[in-house]
Parts: sequence; structure tokens; C-alpha cells
Amino acid sequence: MAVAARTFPAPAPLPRRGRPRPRPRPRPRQVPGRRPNLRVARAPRVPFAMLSLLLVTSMVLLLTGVQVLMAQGAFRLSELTDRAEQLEVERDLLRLRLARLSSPDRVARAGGQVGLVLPEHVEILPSAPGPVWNPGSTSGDGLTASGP
Amino acid sequence: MSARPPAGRLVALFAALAVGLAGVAVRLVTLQLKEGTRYRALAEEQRVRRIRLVPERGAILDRSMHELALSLPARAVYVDPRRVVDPENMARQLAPLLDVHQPQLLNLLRTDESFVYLARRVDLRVAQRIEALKLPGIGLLDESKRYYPGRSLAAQVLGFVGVDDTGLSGLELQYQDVLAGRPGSLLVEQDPSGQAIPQGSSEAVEPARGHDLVLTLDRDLQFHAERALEEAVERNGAKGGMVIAMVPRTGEILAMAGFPTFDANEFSEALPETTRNRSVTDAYEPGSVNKVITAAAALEEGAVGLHERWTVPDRYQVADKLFHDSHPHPPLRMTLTDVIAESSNVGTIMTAQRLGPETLDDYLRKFGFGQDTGIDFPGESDGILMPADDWWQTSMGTIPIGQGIAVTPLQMLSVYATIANGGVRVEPRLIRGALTPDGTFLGTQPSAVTRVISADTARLVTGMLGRAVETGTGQEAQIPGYWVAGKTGTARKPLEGQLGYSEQYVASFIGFAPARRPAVAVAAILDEPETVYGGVAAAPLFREVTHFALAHLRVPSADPPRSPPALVGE
Repeated sequence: MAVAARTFPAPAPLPRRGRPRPRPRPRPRQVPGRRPNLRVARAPRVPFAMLSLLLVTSMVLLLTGVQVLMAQGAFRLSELTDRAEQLEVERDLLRLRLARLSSPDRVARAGGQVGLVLPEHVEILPSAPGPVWNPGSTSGDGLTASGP
Repeated sequence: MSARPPAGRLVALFAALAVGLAGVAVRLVTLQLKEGTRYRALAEEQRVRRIRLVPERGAILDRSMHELALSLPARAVYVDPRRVVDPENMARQLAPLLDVHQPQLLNLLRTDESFVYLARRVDLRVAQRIEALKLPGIGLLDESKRYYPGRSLAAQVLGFVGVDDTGLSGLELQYQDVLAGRPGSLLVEQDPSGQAIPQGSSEAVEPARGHDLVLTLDRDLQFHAERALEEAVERNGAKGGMVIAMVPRTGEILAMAGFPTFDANEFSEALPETTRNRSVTDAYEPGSVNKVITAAAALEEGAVGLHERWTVPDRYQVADKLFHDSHPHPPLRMTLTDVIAESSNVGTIMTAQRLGPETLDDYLRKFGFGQDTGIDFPGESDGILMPADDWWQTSMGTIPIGQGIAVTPLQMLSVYATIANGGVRVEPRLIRGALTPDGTFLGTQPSAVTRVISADTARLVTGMLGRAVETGTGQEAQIPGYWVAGKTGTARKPLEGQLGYSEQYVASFIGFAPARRPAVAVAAILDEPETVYGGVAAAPLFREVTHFALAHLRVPSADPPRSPPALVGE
């Protein structure tokens, strides 16, 4: 099949100044006996751009949100750690205060101030069954529950 | 008409760019590969901070788990004087907080160094106030501070720790490994101002807390013993004194007091001699309390019969030295019980001569003289006991009555505890065990035991000691409702650095109660009292401490009997 030779119009001379004119688009030629070329319809660009923008913005917002949450969590953790340390300090100080207040020296002074004195004579009477002194006992105070 | 740039220029430009890029590449390679490690380390040093996490030192507890010593977190305050802008103002602000004189602080702030401690072991609340001031050049370091809530309570036994949390004396020193724990570390990223970056990486190795040390001491009895001792020292115008209370059967020390003493929280201000636990570290000539060993050895060896009477004069010559009893008396027909009850020097020397030096030396060592007691306390003295071969000719006159030898108060108490325990010597101990951070109690092994004399001999000697309290020199030690066994001691102090004795005395009373089933053995010793006799100066102190101990330990007074049982054969 013979193909018609392509012919193009001669290019127009370029103006000396200014932009060159756009080259005219070649027109499709009708080939006898063949189906005409179908034009591909272009998808509208605006929805795609919007979708992309939305997607990117969402991701940025998501990541930023996650970062913010993590930062908030870290600061909260830091605050709670400080608070825990503060409470530990208070607990330790209370522990020290308790030890000082319960020391025999302090108790004796406090008792003396309100007129308490140690008894001149203490007599321990055996009462069976009851706790009695047992030096061999493994318990802390050396007492056992068995009677004498 | 446009002119094309000359090719030469393009080549030159390209070459210049290439050289420049090559330089950058070389520098990059140098930085990354050759010097990368160094710069990485520098950057890490600038950004990453390693904080030493101070472990909490274990507490020291009494037998009922009351805290006698505990550690709390504290801060050290330091300064980099090069960064201080206004030293006068800084000194004015810090002086009241650190409780330091302003001029002294100013001198520290003006030193030409990069690191100067301003205060150590500062309370956390004070440290927080200092931190809030945001003073340039001021920094804080973690450390811990040791507190002794009872102040001087058992201070000589507990000891104290230095600024670096290391035990320097007493149990704090002896059990440093148990109490100290293991330090940890925290690796944090920080910004240029030194603030930790919340999201930065961090790596923590937790510090391991030290074990708590559980003692055999009873806090209340310890306090009462200390108070009674202080009053006795003042009442008798003495230089000082010691009191020890012990459970004969287990060897557990319930109280160990010395006077003068010190506040362990302010140990740096204490006189060195007041910080020693003299009951363990100092040896003294025990005097008549030592006669009990002579008596026990004589009975055990059959050298003297229990009912045997012999004539005891008030003076007796041994080699070139004349020994005499404390009071002149005509020759008396005495039994060994009488000798002990009346604390006759001559009768005791005559008894010892029947034993001979080797046998006497053997019993002195069996009772624990010349060796440590096994109490595991730093600086314990073995005392002084020469081998029998090296004794002087007069030693058979001095040693039986407790002169010419030196023992610690604890060694002497151990002798009486042995008799109280039916002739079995139990090593004294201060430690019941350790409490791990998770609350597990690790008990110590029971004390080692050794039989020294037979149970029969121990019972007979107990009867003699009971007689000494009932009718002899120790009557001031009687406790209504209890049968007390014990012995007085009045020993002259040797001259320092030369032979011979001074006119100063050590008065003592050592015994146990109730004599039939002893719950506690107590030694009461006064150094240089105005009234030198042990029966007058020390026996009341013994009575007061022992009476309190019996009540505190809830030992019934109705059983055993209120008077000593008749000696066998009497």
C-alpha cells in the first residue's frame, strides 16, 4: 500500500524580536479505508491534585500529631518522673522523721516533759501459758510462747 | 551576534569546580574515616552525659528492726569559679543556704580552678532551692548522706561513714561490702544548656541498694545502759566507763555502751578517743573479777575441795613481793566460796599456787584470754597474756587476782557468760544477719561453742558468785526477786610507759541473772571513780542495767528462787 508522502508547510520566518510563534500542530490526515484515530480523553487534573494534596496534608498532620503526642508523652513522663522523685524524697524525709521521733532519747525527753518517770521496781510474774524469755529462740525478741 | 565562551574558560571553570569538589570529598573522607571516631566521641561527650547513680547504703537495724543508721539521697554543691559573674552576690545568696560563712564562700568562688566543692551532702530541699536560683557556674552532684537518728545511741558500735560513703569505723567499716551496694549509671542526651532532651535516647543501669544489717543490739536496752552509765560516771566522778549486756546462751550482745561518747552525725567534731568502742578495742587489768577463773580451774582440776577450809592470812609473800587483802584481818579459816565471796587476794593466790602456772595459763586461754573473741569488730584487741614460760616469779601472785594481764571488757564478760552457760563458751556476736533489698533475711551462722569447764563446776562457781552477791562484796548488785551471781573487781591501773602501778583504779562488777537460768550477763566498768571499790561504784550500775534488762526481756522474777541454793555439801 502506498503511503502518501508527508508534506509540511514551510516554516514562517522567525521575527527578529519576541517569542517564536508556536509551531502549528500537524493535522491528522484521513487515510481512506481506515477507521479514524480515536482521541484519548484526558482525566481532569484538579481532583487528582486535590487528592494528592489531601493525602500529603493528612500524612503531614498525622506525623505531626504523632510527634506532638510523643513529645507530650515524653514531657508527661518527665513530669511524672520528677514527681516520683519528689515523693521519694518526701518518703525518705518522713522515714528519717519517724526514726528520730521514735528514738528512745526523744521518747524519754518527751516523757520527762510531761512528768513520766521510769518505775523504781518492775516485777515480772510468770503466767502460764505466756511468752517467756528464751535466749535460744530464733525469733527477733528472744521470746517464745511456751510457758515456763 | 552571540560569541561562544572560549573552551579554555570552561575547562578552567570545570577544573576549579573539580578541584573544589575533590577538596570537599577529601575532607569528607578525612572527617568520616580518619577522624570520624574522634569527632564522634567529641560530639557524644558534648551531647551525651553519663550520670553516676549512687546506690542507697543499707540501713543498720537493731534486733527489732528499728533503724539505728539510714542513708538518704543528698547533693554535693560545686562551682566552676571561671563562670561566676558576680561572686559577692552569689556568696550572699548561698551562704545562708549552705550554712557557711560568707567570706569563706567568697574565697572559694574566687579560686583559680575549674571545680571547687562548696558543700557536701546537702539536704535535698536545700539543693532544690539552690538549683532554683540558676546561678551561673553552680552545679549539683548526686550523693547520699548517712543519718543516725539516735545521735549518740550505740555510736561507738555503729561507727560512721566518710563523705564518699565509705565506712570509717565500727560496723560501718567492718561491713562496708554488705552495706555499700553497687553504683549504677544513667546515659542521657542533653541540649547545649545541659538540660536533658525528653525524647533523647537514654540508657540506665539501676544501682543495687546495699543490704540492711540486722544487729543483736536491743535499742531500748542500749539506751538505758548508756543513760545509766552516764549517770554512774557523773555520780562517781569517774573518767569514763563501759557497760555490756549479753545473752550467755547465744552470745548475742544486747547492749554495748561506752562513755564518754559522741554524736555520730557530727563525728568530725568528736575527740578520737570517744569514738573507739573501748569494750572491744581497749585492754585493761581486770583485777578481782579474774578470780573466778582461778576458782573454776581449781574446782575443775580438783586442786581445792569445795568444803576444804584452810588458813588465809591477810598478807602473803610471792617471790620478792608481798601481797595483801584489801582489808587487814586476822588469819581466817576460809573455803573457796569464802575466798570468792570476800574477794580475798591471798586466798586466791594460795589456790592458784596449787594449780601451778601452766595449768592456770591453760585455763586463762581456754576462757578466751590472749585471743580475739570472734565478735568480728574492727580493731579488736587480743589483750595481753604472756606464755607461762615467760611469766615473772611474781606472776603467780598477780595473774590469779587479775593484775599483770590485760583483757578487754568483752573478754572478761565472756568468762562470766561461759559460767552462766554451764561451762560452754559461746563466741559473742553483734550481727544477727542481713536483710536483702527484696526483704529476704539472711541469718548468720550460730556462734562457735567450746566447752571450757564441766557443767558441775559451772554450777558450783555460780553458787560462789551468788554468795558473793548475797553476803560478800557484791551486795549492792542484788535485785529484789532475782538471784544474781557476780563478782566485784577493783584493779589498780598500771603506770603508762613504765613499770609499776598508779594510784588510779578501775572498778567493775560482772555477773548474770537469774543465776539458775541466766537470761543476761552484764559487765559494768568505771574508769577512775572517786570511790574505787567495784562493790560500791560499779555494782549499782550493774544492778540498774540488769534490772532493766530482766524487766525488758520479761524474765519472771518468781522463778527461780529469790535466794541462792545451798552449795553442795554445805
